[in-house]
Amino acid sequence: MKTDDPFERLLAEQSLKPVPSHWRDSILATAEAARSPATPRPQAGLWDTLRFLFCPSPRVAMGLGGVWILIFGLNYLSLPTVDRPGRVTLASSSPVLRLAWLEQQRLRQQLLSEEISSPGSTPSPVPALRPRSARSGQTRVC
Amino acid sequence: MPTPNLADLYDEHASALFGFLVNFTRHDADARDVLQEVFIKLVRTPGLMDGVRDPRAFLLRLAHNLAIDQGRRRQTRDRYHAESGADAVELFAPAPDPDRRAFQSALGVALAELPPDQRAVVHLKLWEGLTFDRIAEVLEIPLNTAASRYRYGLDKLRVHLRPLYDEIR
Repeated sequence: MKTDDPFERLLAEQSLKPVPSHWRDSILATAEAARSPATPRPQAGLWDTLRFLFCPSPRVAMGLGGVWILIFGLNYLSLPTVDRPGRVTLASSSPVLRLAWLEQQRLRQQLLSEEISSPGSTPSPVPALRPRSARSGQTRVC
Repeated sequence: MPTPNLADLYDEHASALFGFLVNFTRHDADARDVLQEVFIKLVRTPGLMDGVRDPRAFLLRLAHNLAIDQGRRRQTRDRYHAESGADAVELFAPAPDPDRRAFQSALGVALAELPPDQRAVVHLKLWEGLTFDRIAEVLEIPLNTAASRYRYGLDKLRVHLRPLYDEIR
């Protein structure tokens, strides 16, 4: 230090104590250790970025996914049965029911065929209305 | 200027930083903690020293800021230091001459009685040989403030040390 003041020169001449030599290795080792976790791997950085953008909270994402699955399931179950693909019919679900269903079909066909075979048959004539006094032999039960 | 090797930085500047920190914090352990923080910050902030013209001044500024942060974090401990005789810290390498050793001891006590702001300026001027311009940069204060703090601090030291100074002169 350049100064004309002898007091300042005397102060500046006092040599400071040096840093303890055994600190060097521990300070540098601690500093190097602090470097490792702070240095991100490129893949980890990209993964972290993508995860932050699209899935910041895995638990919340899983919960939302579960809710959507539930909604889709309820929606599927509420569809009209005729539109449901792969529907198992009642007739084919059990042999007994199938036989009953076939019997019903047979009876239905029989009725239809009888109607077709007698198209000219006329319904029984409606009795003509007669005066109340002429209906003495008939008793109506209500 | 490219970032130099960490070990090279330590070998070149650690002693100066340690002297400044001991004088500023008045505690060896605190000085060590801040010195450690300086090098951790250098490691964790790549490129921190890119373009730095004067590494010593830059590191002193970094150490000063970290020492202030540490002081804020440890206010209770600092009060304890102040109450427990912080002037007991050894600041100087022991001189062979007893009169010089006595002067060093008195100088250490006188420095401890200075306000930290004045002590920092006095240290940088006397033992680092920085100009007031550079001191103002390091401590982030106006140039005139640096000069006035140095003058006030030096006057106080002169008053404290006059009897011993007259003896050894």
